[in-house]
Amino acid sequence: MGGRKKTLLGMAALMLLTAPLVAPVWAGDGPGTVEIGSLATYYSAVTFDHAMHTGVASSCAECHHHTTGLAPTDPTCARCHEAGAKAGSVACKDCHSDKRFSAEDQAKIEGNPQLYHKGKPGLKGAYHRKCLGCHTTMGGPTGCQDCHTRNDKGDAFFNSGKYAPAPTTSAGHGGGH
Amino acid sequence: MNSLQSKGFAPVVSHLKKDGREWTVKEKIMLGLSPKEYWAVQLRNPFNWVLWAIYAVGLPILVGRFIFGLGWVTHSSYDYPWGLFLGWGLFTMVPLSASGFMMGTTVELFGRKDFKPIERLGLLNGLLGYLFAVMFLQVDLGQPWRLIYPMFVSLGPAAVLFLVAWHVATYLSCQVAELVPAFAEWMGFPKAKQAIKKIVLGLTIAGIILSTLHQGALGALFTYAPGKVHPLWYSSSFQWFQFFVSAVFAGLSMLIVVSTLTKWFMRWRCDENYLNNLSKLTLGLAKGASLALITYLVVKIIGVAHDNDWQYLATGWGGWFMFEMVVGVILPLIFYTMAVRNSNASLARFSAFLAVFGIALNRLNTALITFNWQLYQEIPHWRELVIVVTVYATYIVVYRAVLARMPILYTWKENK
Amino acid sequence: MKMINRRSFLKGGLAGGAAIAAVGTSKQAEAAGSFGGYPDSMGVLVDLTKCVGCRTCEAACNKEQGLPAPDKPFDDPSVFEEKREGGLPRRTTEKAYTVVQKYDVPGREHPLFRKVQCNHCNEPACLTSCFVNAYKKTPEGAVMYDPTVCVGCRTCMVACPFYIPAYSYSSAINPVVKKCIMCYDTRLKFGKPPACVEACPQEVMTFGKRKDLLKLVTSGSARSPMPTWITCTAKPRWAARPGCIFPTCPLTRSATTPIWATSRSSVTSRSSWRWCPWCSPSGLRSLPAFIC
Repeated sequence: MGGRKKTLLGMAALMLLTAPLVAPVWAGDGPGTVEIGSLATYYSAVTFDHAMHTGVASSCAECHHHTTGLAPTDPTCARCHEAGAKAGSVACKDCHSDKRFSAEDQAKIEGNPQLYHKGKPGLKGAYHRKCLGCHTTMGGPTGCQDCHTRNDKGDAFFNSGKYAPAPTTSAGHGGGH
Repeated sequence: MNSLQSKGFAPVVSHLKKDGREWTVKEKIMLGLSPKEYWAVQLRNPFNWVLWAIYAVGLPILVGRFIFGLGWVTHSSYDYPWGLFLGWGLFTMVPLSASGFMMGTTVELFGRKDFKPIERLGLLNGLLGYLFAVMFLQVDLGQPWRLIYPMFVSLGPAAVLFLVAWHVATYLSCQVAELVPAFAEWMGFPKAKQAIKKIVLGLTIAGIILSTLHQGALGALFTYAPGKVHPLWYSSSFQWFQFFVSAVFAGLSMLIVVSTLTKWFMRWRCDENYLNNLSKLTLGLAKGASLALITYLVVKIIGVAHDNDWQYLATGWGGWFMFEMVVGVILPLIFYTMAVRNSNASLARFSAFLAVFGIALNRLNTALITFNWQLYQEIPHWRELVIVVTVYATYIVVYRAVLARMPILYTWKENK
Repeated sequence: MKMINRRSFLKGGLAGGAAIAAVGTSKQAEAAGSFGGYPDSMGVLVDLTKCVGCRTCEAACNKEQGLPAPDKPFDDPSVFEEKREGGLPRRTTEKAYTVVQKYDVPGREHPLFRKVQCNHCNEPACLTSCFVNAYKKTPEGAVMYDPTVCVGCRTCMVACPFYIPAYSYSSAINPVVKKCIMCYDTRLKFGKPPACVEACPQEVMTFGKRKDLLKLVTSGSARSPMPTWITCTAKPRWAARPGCIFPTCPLTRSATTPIWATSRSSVTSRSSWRWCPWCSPSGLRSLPAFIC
C-alpha cells in the first residue's frame, strides 16, 4: 500500500477505535442544554448544560437511572428492570412530579397498589438530591444561588437583598428568649 | 398603738362605748380614735414609711404591667414561662395559707376547743393567703380578665390546673363563709352568724376535701415536666403527697409566725384570752407540725429511693438539696420536738420561722431554681421582684387592717 | 330528722354500691392513656440526613402564616451561630414557628441540621395540661390551638417536653401561644402539605398518611436509607428515635452535642436497651406526627 493510503487507513482505524471514547459527545445523546423553568416563582430559569454533564458523567444511568436503556447493576433494581427497557421518556419532569404531596399525587400513589416506588421524590427534590450529591463530592456548585439566581419575588420570600430587614441593635429586653 | 395603750387607750371590743352609746361603723374603722389621732398614729409608725416607699416604687410598675404587658416586667422567657408571681405568689403562699383548714379541722371536727383563741387567726391567715394568691395569679396571667373561663366558658377537665382553679375558687368561698361570724360580730349582724353556725361542720369538711386535693394538685402540676425539675425535687409517684404533707406543717408554722408577730407588734389588740393561751397553743401547733415534718422527711427519702436518685446527692444540686432539708425540715423537726418536750414556746417560734423559710425554699426550688436545671439559670427581672414586694405589702396591709378591727385576736363582747 | 337504723344504712349502702358497679365501667375509661392517633391522620416524616440548612422552610412558614419580618434574611447562615442564654441554639419564638439548628457532630463530615417545630403529638402534653381546653388534636393530625379561650397561664409551655410553644409577651392586650399548626387552616384541611414540606428543595420531609410513613420508618428501603439512630449521652441504656437530638433532652446531661450513632442494628439488637420515654414507642403509637 502507498504511504498516504496507509496514513489515511491508520487514521480511520484510530478514529474507529477511539469512537466509543468520544461518542458521548459526538453521538448527540440528549439535548445540548435543558431549560429548567419549574422554579420560576422565586428563581430565574436555569439553563442546564446537559452536554457538559454528559462529559463528566460516567454513564447516562448516573442521572437517568435506567431509562436510557441500560440495565441496572444494583440487584434490587435488577429484580424488576433487568431487561433494561428504554422508558417512554428520559426527561426528569416526566417521572418526577412537580406537585409532589398534592392531593392528586397522593391519590395516584394510593390508587396504585402495584407501585413499588412510593417514595419517589418530586421534581425539586430529585434535582437537588441528584445534583448536590455529585457536586458535593466532585466539587461543583453547591450554593443556592450558584445554580439559580433569585428573582425579585424570591428576594421578598427570603427577606433578602433589597427586602433585607434593617440590622437591629439588641433593642431592650422583652425580645423573648 | 402599743404606746397609746400604755397611755390609757382602750381598743374597741364591743358595740358600746364607755358612755353607753354605740360605735358607728366609721368610728370602728378608725379604731375608736378621732380621725386626727388615727392619722397621727399612722404617720408615726416607721413600718408605714417602709410601706409608702414600697408603694411609691411599686404601684407605677404594677400599673405598668397591665399597660405594657408581661414583656415589660419579665424576661419574656419561653423556656421559663413561670416566674416569681407564680413561684412565690401561688406556690409558696398557698401552702403557707393551709392554716385555714388546719384550724377548722382541729376545732370543729376534732373538737379541740382549747385551740379556739387562735382559730380565727388561722382562718384569716388562710383566707388572705388564698385571696392574695389569686391576686398574684391575676398579675401573672396573660389575659387576667379571662380568669373565669375554666369555670364557665371552656372547660378542660383533664388538666391538673382545672382542679386547682375550681378548688381555689370554691375554697375561697368556704373560707369567706367561715369568717362571716367574725365580721357579723363586728358589724352587728347576729342572723348571719347564726346561719353560718348551722353549716360550720359542712364548711369544715368541704374545706378539708378541697384543701387536701388542691395542695396536692399544686405538686402534681410538676409531673407535667418530669425532666425539667431536678430529680431530687421531683418524684413522679410522690410529688403530690410531698406537697400536701408539707402544706400541713407550712400552715401550722405560718400560724405560729403570724401569732408571734401579733404578740410583738399588735399587743394592744390582743385580749387576755389570746395572750395567756398563746404559748400553750404555740406548743400544740408545734406538736402537730413536728408530726407532719417527720412524715414529710420520710416521704422525701422514699421519693429519692424510689427513683434511685442517690448519685445526685453528691453533686452541687445535691448540696443545695441537703441545705434545704437540713435548714427547712430537719432543724425545725428537732427544734419543734425539743420545744414541745421542754415547754419552750420561744424555741417553737424560732423553729416556725425556719420551717416557713424551708417551705418557701422548697417551692421556689421546685418551680424556679431547679426548674430547667439542665439549661441555664434564669434570674427574674427586677420589676418582677418589685411587683411581688408590692403585692405582698398589700397583703400585709390588709392583714393588719382586719386584725386591728375585727374580733380575731380578741373576743367580742356581746352586750346587746 | 328521722334517725336511720344502722342495719338499714348498711343495706342501703351496699345496694347503692352494687347498683353503681352493675352499670359497668365505660369502655373509654379502660382505654384512657393510650391514644394511637386518628386512623387517617396525616404526618410528616423528616429525614435529617438530607437537610442542608438552606432555611427555605423557615421562609415558607413565615410567608404562609403571615409572620412578621425576621431579624435577619432567611438566607443568612450566621443565625446558626447565634447562641441564646446557656449557650443553647436558636429555638421557636413568637415570630418563628419553625427554626433550623446546626450541630457540628464529631465523626460526621458535614454539620447536622435539625428542623425544630411542634411535633403534633398523638397525646400532646400541652393539650392535657390546658385547663380551658384550648388545644385540639384534629383528625387530620394537626394539634390546633384556640386563642379565643386561652387565659395565658402558660402551663402548656411548662408541659411541652420539646420546649415548643412560644408566647407573644410583646402584646399587652392579647398575648397568645404561638406554634406550628401544620398549616391546618390554609392547607392541611384541604389535603395539601404544609408550606415547609412543599418548599424544601431537598425533600427532607415526606408528607402522607402517618400509618404509611411509619411503615417507611420500620422497613426502610435500601434506596432511601432511614437516618441512623441516636443514643443518649448520659444514659446509654436509653435509645432515642432518629433525629432525636435535643439540647433539652430530659435524659441527657450535657446534651448540646448530639451523638450521631452507630448503626440501627446496634440499637435494636440489644434487648437491655429501653426507649427514651419522650418518644416511647411500644408499637410506635405515641410517636408524634413529625417523626424526625
